[in-house]
Formats: sequence, structure tokens, C-alpha cells
Amino acid sequence: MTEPRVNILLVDDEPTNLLALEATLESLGQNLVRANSGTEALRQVLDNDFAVILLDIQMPGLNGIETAAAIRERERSRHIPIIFLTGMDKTQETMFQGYSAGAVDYLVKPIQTDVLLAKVGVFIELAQARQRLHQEIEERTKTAVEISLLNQALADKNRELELRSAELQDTIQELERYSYSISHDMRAPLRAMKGYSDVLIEEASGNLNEEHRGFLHKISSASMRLDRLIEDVLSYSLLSRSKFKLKPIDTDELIREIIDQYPGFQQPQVDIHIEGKLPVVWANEATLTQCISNLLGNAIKFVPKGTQPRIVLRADVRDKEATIWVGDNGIGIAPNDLERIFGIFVKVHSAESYAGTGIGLSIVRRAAEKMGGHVGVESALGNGSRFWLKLKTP
Amino acid sequence: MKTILVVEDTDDDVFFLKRALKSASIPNPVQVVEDGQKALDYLSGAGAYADRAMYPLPFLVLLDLKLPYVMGLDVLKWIRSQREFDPMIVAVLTSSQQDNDLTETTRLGGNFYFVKPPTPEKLSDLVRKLATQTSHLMM
Repeated sequence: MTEPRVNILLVDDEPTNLLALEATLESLGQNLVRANSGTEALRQVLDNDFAVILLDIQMPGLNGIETAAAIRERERSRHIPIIFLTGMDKTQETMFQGYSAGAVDYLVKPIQTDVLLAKVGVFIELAQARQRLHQEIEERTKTAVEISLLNQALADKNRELELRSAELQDTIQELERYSYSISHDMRAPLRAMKGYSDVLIEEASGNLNEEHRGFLHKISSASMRLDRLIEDVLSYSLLSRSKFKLKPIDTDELIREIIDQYPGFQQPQVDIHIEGKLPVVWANEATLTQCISNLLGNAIKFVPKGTQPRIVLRADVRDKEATIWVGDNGIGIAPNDLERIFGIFVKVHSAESYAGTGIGLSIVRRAAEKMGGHVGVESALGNGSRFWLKLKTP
Repeated sequence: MKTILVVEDTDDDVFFLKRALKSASIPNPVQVVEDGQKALDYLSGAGAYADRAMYPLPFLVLLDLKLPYVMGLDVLKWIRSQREFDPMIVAVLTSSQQDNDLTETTRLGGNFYFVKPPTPEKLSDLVRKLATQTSHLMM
């Protein structure tokens, strides 16, 4: 960085003295400003900043001492160092006057070039250092202002985002409430469809031909399917909205209870084997029950026609995390579908081959996440699947 | 024989309920009101329901939750605030087992809770439970 040029003020009523000073100081490469009287010097310091003032004491009009005093009185020029130039006749008294008027130094005429250069040089460096400091402070202030502006903008953006996300949250909640109540209201007419077709099946089957009886059964089973779909949508949306506390749940006990309660999970429909003892995990009982039931139901559903589903349940615990494995002898899952099957309404089989709502596994995923866990699957086509559910252990 | 009061606004559901009661061989007479306000009027013998010979106090109320005017849970709350109805059995019917209504039903003093449709099996089960707990009420 090249040093900025600084101003040096030379004050003397004798043009030859000024000329001599200029000749000497020129080599320093700074701006030399002349003033031939105290008044002129005062005018100069009014408009410009100086690294140092060389001030002759004996001048007509305002003398050097008076000029220095006036310079000191002004806020703008108070800090400018003044070197008095004086004849051999300087007395203790003028020295004292000079210092109290703000002189920092004296030079006695005839002035010695090297002494002058050395002393002025010090003040040039000082002024340059001060300028650098000012620049730095200015830059830092500018940076600080910029940062605070950026921070302000960031805070504004943040507020905007918070507002938007709150709005979105509201919209989502409204939509979920809406879908919940719609699903809820759809069940009444559906119950009527199913109920009346069942009444007809029971009481009027004799009056119908084979084909028409079939239609009636189709109405009944279609309304049942729609009802299951609605029930699953309700579960999913309720799960999304609900908040619950986690408690230590003994999965061994819970899973045995689930199997005991549903004939669909018992012999001869399915062969479920629990390997070893299953652990205690952090969970919500109802939600975990839903998870396990859906995983078991899923394992039972996707077997080749005519095969008895075989399910093996086991668990391992590592680093305060339990992994519960649900292995089956089902049809397996293609690599491309491994991630997809947890999405809502995703079915990778035709409705004819494997009936389902496409929500069961999304419920499992949502439920697992709500309990601070994860769910996933390992599988290969034709080789069965091993679903895993990871939950924290107490 | 003591009366069953059905509080239900959907004709279809009333039809299926009556049919299920018949299938379950529950012979008690059934009275039906279509909204929550009428349920309160019936139970307090107000207005059109002043004649207790025609509109006897029920031993069992089958109460739908989604009702016009006064909601089912409010009817339940009102029943439980009346001392003279203490022995009255209230069974709540709801459309979905996912409802949080179950906890509210229990909290407000409902005795039973089941998900529609009311099948003969569910009703027989209810009556069996009632018979063991409160046999004197049935007849």
C-alpha cells in the first residue's frame, strides 16, 4: 500500500525563509502549503488537515504564539503538532509561552537541514499512521454497517419465513381436519350401502339369479373396501395430527397380546415365530400396536397363492437402539420398490392379485417417525422380506 | 319391559340398529329421537314427551355422537348431571374407532362405546354385559 501524501503548513512572513524551508522539505515528497502570516495560517487550517505546522514566532500582526493559541482553540485543528521556528534570541519566557500555546518542539534558526527533515519526518509518519487508522476505522465502520444491514435483511427474511411457515402449518392443519371430517362423513352413506346390500343378500337372495347375487356381493365388498380405505386415511391423518408421550413398552408382551387378540395372526392362517425375548422400547402403545399389526398384516398378505405365511420376529439392541425384525416368506420386493412402498397410496401390485389400500406402510413409517424411530426393509424378489423397525430403548 | 332410547339422526342407522336388536333377540321396546335437543326433552319429559306412559324413561340410551343441535357428548354430560338418571346405562355409537371420543365418553361417564354399524353380535355382547351388571334394569 502506497502511503498517502500529507500536508505540511509552512508559516513565515519572510518569503526567503519559506523558500528555504520548501527547498529542504521537498525531498520528503509531501504537499507543502505556504502561509505568509498568522491570519493566512488560520485560514489554511480551517479548510485542510496538516501533518505538522512549521510556525515562525516573530511575525507582524498575529505572531506565532498567538497563531498557535488560535489553532489550539479550534476543535478541527487542535491535534495538529506545531514546531516553532525561532531566532537565537529565544528566552525561557517565550519557550514557556510557546509550549503552553501548544508547541511540540522548537527549531532554532538558522535551521539545520537534517534536524528539520528528521523532526518533520516523524510527524509525517505519525499523520500517515493516523490516516491509516482512520481509514481502517472507516472501513470497519462501513463493514459493520453493512453487516448490520445484512442482519436486518436476514431478520426480515426470517420473520417472513416464520410467518409463511406458520401460514402453511395452519393450511396443513386445516386440510388435515378437512380430510378427517370428509372421511368421517363418507362413512355414513357407505354404511347404508353395505348395510342394505347385506340385508338383500340375507333376505332376497332367493329371488335373484346367480349373476345378480354376484352383483350384490360386489356392492357389499366394494363398500367394505372403501370403508377400510377411509379407516386407513383416518388413521394416517390422525397420526399426523396427534401428539403423544413416549413410555417404555415391553414389545415382547405387546406383540404376544396382538397375536392373541387377532385370529388372523394365529394358526392355521399364519405361522408366527418369536425368536428370543423382544426388548423394551420407547413408544406409544396404541401407535406401536398399529405399527406391528400393519407389519404383520403386510407380511401375511404378500405370499404366493396357496402358501402359508411364515413370519419370524426377532430383535437386536445396540447403542440404546432396538431393531425389531419382521421376516416373512412372501413374494419379496423389487429393488426399485424398496423405498417406494412406504409412500402413501403406493401399490406395487394390481388390485386383483393383492388387495390393499396402499396406506398401511405409510402409517407404519409415519408412526415410527412420530416415536423417534425409523422403518425400512431388506428384500429380494422371490426371497421374502425383512422389515425392520428401529426404536430407542430406555 | 323397559325401554331403550335411541338417539340417532340418520334413518339408515336407525333401521340397522332396530334390525340388529331384532336379530340379537332383544325384545325391549325402542323409542327414537333424531337430535340431541329431543333427547333432552324426552328424558326430562318436556313438551311433547310429557306423557310417561307413552314415553317411559329408558334403562338404556344408545347415543350417536354426531347429532344436530345438541351433540352426543353434551347429551351424555347432561344425563350424568341429573342424579335421578344415575342408574341409566349410556352406550355411545361412533363412526370410527380412531375418534378421540372414546376417552371423552369414558371421562363423561358413558358406560359403553362401540363403532358403527351395530351388529347383532355387538348388541348381544352389550346386553350380556348389562345382564351381569344390572340384571334388575332389563325387565
